[in-house]
Amino acid sequence: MRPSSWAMLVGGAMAGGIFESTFAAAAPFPANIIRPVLPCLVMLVLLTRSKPALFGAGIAGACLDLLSATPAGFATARLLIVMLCVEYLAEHVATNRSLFSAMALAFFAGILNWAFLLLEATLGNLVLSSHIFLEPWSTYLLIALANVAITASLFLVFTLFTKRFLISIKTQ
Amino acid sequence: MLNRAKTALVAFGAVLALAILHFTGLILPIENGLRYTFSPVGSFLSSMGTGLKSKTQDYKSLAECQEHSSDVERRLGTVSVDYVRLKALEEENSVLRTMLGYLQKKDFDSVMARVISRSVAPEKSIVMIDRGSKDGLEIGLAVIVGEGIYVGKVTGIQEHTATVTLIPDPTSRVAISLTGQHKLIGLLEGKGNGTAVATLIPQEEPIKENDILVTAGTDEKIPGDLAIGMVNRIIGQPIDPFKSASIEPLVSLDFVEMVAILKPKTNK
Repeated sequence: MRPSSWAMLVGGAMAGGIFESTFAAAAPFPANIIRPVLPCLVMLVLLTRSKPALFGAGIAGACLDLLSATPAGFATARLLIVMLCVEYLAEHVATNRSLFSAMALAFFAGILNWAFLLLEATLGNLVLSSHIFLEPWSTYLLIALANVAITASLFLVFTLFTKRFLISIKTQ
Repeated sequence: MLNRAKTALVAFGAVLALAILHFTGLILPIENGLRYTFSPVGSFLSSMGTGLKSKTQDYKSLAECQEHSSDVERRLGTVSVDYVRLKALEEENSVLRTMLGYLQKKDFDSVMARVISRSVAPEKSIVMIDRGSKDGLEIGLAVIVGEGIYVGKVTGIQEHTATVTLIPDPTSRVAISLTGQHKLIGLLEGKGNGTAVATLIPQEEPIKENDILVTAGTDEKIPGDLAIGMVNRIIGQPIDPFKSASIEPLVSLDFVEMVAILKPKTNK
């Protein structure tokens, strides 16, 4: 990636993290289920694979941890693990970089993020005596579905500018 | 495969290093600096979200509006009588103070702050504000809106930001009194989801519906006579040693964007 692309990635990840910790926390339904970080990172995995997506996850997670009014549950670590899992799936399971792969990965990322939060909340209560407050499970399901919609929209927009998602057929 | 393991290892190392640096407090200045840098954008976005919420929640059905209107009219009637009586007392008090040459002293300064972010979980009522220890804030200070309506207290402090626990939060506790009584009558406890209950009120206390509750002033850093809320319903049997009362806040805490923190005046 070019230096300008890295700069854009840092700016975008910061904007995403700040948006999720401030706007999404204050906005009413359905605006509160728009969480752009995971869909953007999934698209980044599909476009570039590993490093930029992990870098973006780290920065967005740090912004979430810094600006959340209640403990965000070490979002930096959680997003990094989620992206490592998504990247593994993108390389070994959903390998064809299609619209449906992107949607499936986005849904998986949303559910995995919730599962890790649930684990953190349980461990936090049992081991650390600290509390991580969870939204209702239905909200997380809606967020995962919103992730799918955002990823699909992003995928369609990206197809206008890049040929990476096209199947390459060599003709003699 | 080796490359993936290397990436995962680097990521794990970075997370571990970050966790150690955070818990030892070595990166606290960087965290504070970043919070300070992001706070204008944060408060702008939070204010946008709050604005959107207040607009969408304004739409009510006609039946709801009529019910609300009749409820407000009924309360206005009760409060108006109290207001007229208090106004007369205030004027009399002011005349007496002037005659005695009494100089009213205010022992508290206020610091204005904007809300940067809110808790996501509905049962929690916590906000982050853009003022911190650098602005003289301390844990336990009272947070008000408008002309002295108590909304919560500072429970967490950083250099440029602070965390405020609002009245409905389940961890929120404040000593309360009835308007004009200047004595502790009970405790206001948050119950989550925007509700609060006044508890441990002795049976002999003459508290009734539509009474305004104020802070008792017994908490170290919270002045007395800050309006808190209106009594909605008295809970409990006459044979119980204590009674409770459900309280309706005087302002909608979901839409609070600007607050003032009361800090004791420093004598120079």
